[in-house]
Amino acid sequence: MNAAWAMELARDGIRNLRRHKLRSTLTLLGVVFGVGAVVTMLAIGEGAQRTVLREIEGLGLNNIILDSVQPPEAARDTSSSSSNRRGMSLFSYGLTERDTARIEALIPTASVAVGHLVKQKVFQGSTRLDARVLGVRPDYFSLFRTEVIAGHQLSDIADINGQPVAVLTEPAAVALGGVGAVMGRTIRIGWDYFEVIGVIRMPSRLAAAGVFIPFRTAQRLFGTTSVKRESGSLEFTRTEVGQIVIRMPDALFIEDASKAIAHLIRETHETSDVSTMVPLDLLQSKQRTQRVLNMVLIAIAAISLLVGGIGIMNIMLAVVTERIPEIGVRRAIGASQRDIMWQFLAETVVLSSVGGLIGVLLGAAMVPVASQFTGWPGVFTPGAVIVALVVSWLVGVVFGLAPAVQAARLKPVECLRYE
Amino acid sequence: MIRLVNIGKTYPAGAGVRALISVNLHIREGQYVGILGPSGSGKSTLLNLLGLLDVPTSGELRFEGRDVATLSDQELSRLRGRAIGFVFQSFHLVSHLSVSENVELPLFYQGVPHRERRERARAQLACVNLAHRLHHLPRQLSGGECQRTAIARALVTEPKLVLADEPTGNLDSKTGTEILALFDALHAQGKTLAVITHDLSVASRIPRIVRIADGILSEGAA
Repeated sequence: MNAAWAMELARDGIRNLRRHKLRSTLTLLGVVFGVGAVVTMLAIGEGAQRTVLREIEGLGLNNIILDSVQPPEAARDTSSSSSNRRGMSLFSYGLTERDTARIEALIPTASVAVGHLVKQKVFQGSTRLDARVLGVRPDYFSLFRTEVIAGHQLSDIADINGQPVAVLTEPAAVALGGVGAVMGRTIRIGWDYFEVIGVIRMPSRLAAAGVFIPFRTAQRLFGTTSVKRESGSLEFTRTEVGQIVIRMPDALFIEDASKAIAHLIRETHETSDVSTMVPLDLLQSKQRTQRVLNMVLIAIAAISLLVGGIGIMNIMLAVVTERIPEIGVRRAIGASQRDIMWQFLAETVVLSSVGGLIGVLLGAAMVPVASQFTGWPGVFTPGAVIVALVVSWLVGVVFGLAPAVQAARLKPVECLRYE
Repeated sequence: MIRLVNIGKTYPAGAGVRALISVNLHIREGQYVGILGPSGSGKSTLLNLLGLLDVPTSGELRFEGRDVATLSDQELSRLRGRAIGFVFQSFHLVSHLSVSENVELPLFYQGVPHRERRERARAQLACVNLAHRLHHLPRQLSGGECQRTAIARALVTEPKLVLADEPTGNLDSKTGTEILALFDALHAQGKTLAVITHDLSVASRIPRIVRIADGILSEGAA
């Protein structure tokens, strides 16, 4: 079979389909919706995946991030708290400088950065900001994907001099009235005033709403102990180190390193006051769930394509019956079984390919709507379009084959006699 | 050209109606043969066998010296397309194709390029005086025009053998006579023709007549 012949078959197919416009259109719709669903699902799936992956990669795939977390109340009473009769208590939790030293000794090739947690409330004017305040050294920001969107980053000078300056994350800035509204303004942390010198964008898992101040400033002004006054009692809480970020020289060692660190933390901490985040693990588990999600989406789309294919097959079986006398004539004047098969197959392939094309357009139109509903961006990849077109073409071949073979196997004599 | 030796045909294969019983027939190149018989006598079965549309249950059928039982579907189809032209009682034109396209159809299956197909179909239609009807659909034609289209379709491949099944059966007598005149002309050109009929007036114009009754064939004058 050469190209010119295939073209003629396709042209004949189109002509036959045009003879029954309503019937062809209805049959087409099955494929259109099926392919449209495939395209939309692939685009949304891809968009969701990219969003999640970008977020996780922003955390640094070579990093292991340890955070001090306040243990639950019950654990607190029986652990490292001591109280006296005057209603005063001291309570320590979280990471310590000894932890930092141990980790550095455990993994000498890793670079370790620490964050100083400031347990103070943040205000701008009378607006209270629910944010985590972390004192960090300037190199802290190079560990993650951060982007300065206004002003500038904390500098070495500011750290060395312990200047009262702050950098806000984008959500924190927005909470205080927008990026433009906070730049250069003063915020209050505890009873100390800080100038906002920059706004940054960083992975939201790290700090949805966060305020960063120079490490030395944090140490100098707030120390490691904070006081909480409650009816007749004073509660002192102490956290030496708020956050430890361990950057491994290579992602290969992440798994072993995170196991070793987890072991070390378990051995030296009585309560669960440290949370561990391994972006690489997160990435892998996200990829696993994404794969499952994608498979579910594809399965749903495949079912709608299957329905479309069955529609095609159903119609083509009727068409074959309708055209039995014509098949007889064609056989009498020299058409072989193969010729008849190709003729009907051409018709279904034309039908499903046209359905595929329209389906891709429909899918393209549906992607923005679907991303509105799901909140995930739709990413329209050329691969997805090719997959959709190839699949629609295959639907035509697979579901057209049975009717075409049936037509080809009819006996010429019986066809000619058929009324 | 075509030789039938002890041909038997039973429907359905096995133990059914015996449509043909031990038929021997030899049609030589250039002969004009009439197959005469009442309906149900087995003449259509015979024509289907002659036209390689069906295979005999028993016996040997040779077309141009080749035993057709040994040919594949592909070879049989090519042979039908190249060497045989069919004319049916009910014309059997493809209703959604134009006159010209109906005539082009056998050439399509021979792989003739589009342009050449169109030219040959036009020339053939001119021969049957239908040059003015090229783009009409079959339903827009009279019965005689339909049959002339069918004849053009049968001849466009320049077949050696033309088979006609009651070609005048659906036509009025005047148109029927025109069609028969066309067949006479083909015979004069040296084509081999086999025409089935139950009409004695048709049979009277045909030089060689074979009679068929209850599946048994006998040579005989009209």
